[in-house]
Amino acid sequence: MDDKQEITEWFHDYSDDILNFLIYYTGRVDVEDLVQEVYIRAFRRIHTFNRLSRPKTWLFTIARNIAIDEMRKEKKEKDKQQKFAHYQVHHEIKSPEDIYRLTETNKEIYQTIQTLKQSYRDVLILKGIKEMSSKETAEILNWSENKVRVTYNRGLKALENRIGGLSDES
Amino acid sequence: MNRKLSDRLHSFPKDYQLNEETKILIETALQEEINNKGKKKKRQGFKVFLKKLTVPVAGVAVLALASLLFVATDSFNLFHVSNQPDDSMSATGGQQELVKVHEELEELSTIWANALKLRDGKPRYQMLSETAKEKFIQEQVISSGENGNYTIGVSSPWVVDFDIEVEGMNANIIYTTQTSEPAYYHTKETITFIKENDKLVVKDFQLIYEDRLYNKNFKSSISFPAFPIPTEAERIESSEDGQETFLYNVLGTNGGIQEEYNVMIESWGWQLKEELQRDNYYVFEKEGQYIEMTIQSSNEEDFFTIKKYENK
Repeated sequence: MDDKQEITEWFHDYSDDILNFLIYYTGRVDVEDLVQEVYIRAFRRIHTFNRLSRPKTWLFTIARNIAIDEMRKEKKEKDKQQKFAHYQVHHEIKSPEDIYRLTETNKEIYQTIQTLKQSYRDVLILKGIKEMSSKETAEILNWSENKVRVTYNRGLKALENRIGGLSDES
Repeated sequence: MNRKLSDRLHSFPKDYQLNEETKILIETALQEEINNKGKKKKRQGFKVFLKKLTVPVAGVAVLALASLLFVATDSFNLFHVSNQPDDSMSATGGQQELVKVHEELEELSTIWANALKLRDGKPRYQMLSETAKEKFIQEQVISSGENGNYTIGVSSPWVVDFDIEVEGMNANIIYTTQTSEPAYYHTKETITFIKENDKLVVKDFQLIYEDRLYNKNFKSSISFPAFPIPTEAERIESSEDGQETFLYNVLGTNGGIQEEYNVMIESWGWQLKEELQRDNYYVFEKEGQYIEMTIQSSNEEDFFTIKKYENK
């Protein structure tokens, strides 16, 4: 299979997975352009793909890097816009909470995750919400599996402390 | 509680999908990228080829006239494709001919490289010049005895892929080879073509280097090409003195540099100067050249910097 066929196949297999990851990771709904960027960057760097690892985790690594870049850019842009805030017309923008119709408890959990430090957010979204195995998460973050497990547990603990326990709402 | 919270996270919905229209748009953009890459590669290859031949082409007119009086050389014959010297001076005709030659060289180089992949030397032998045939036979005798039966290469590491770059009348081929371990290596060969009896043949073939340990997870630093950098490390800063900063966690589980990265640095010929190491600061030396690496790791961001080591 050549590079073109491979990247097309990966697009069909994983684009929705990457879409959901990017939505939760960035906290934005309009991430289609980032999905496109993931595949274009992957195609440009396909010669660097280590055939011994899984394409899915490799694509997630790229997606995470793109998301981090995007969030940095967005932060700079926001800081700039704040200076001119009174000139802006505010539109209501949909959030991940809206499109996934999260329950009140899940909304609270998700919003709290977004306030945690990056390493906790990484594992809670990848291993927690995206249900990746420790091995897959380790590959994506370039950590050891042990570090993933330890950080995940610490992240859960930090999350629990912030939300003060789960309600009985299912 | 952690278990309950973990189960709760697993239950978060993740069934949002790209709509069909968006999928088509992304696929179209991707297709464009694929097409552009193909075109760019061809253009670049041809550009290098033209660049290498700028002087010879300009000199063709003079040589063409001179050739009527003096003995023509092999390299002249290549460009003197027509019996009419004026044809070689025509921009369009000349360029078309160069494109044709370039394509033919790419094709021949592919057959040459593929022969090693298949370990069948016959196609190679057929495209050799008379003198190169002698060299080929000598090598056959050395590697396989008198009855070599055109078998070339070795059973391990075996060729899994190759890249060809045609530059002028030379083709540089980098073979990626593999062992069952699996470990990957690079071997570079340069073949030189001439035109003999109006036919392109291989005049010489040289091994530039053999079985260099290779790992797709690493690439060369831009400022210090002999120093490996993890492929996934994103270069976020560089300065005129060659300092480069990368966003990447190079720390391994033991707190030092990742084992795989360490092995790669060593295999590229760099030695750690242990007496200069402190915490996350390392100095490496190779053939009198020194590079220092500083690793910074925090909960928020991991990055490392490499620069030329100045004896402070």
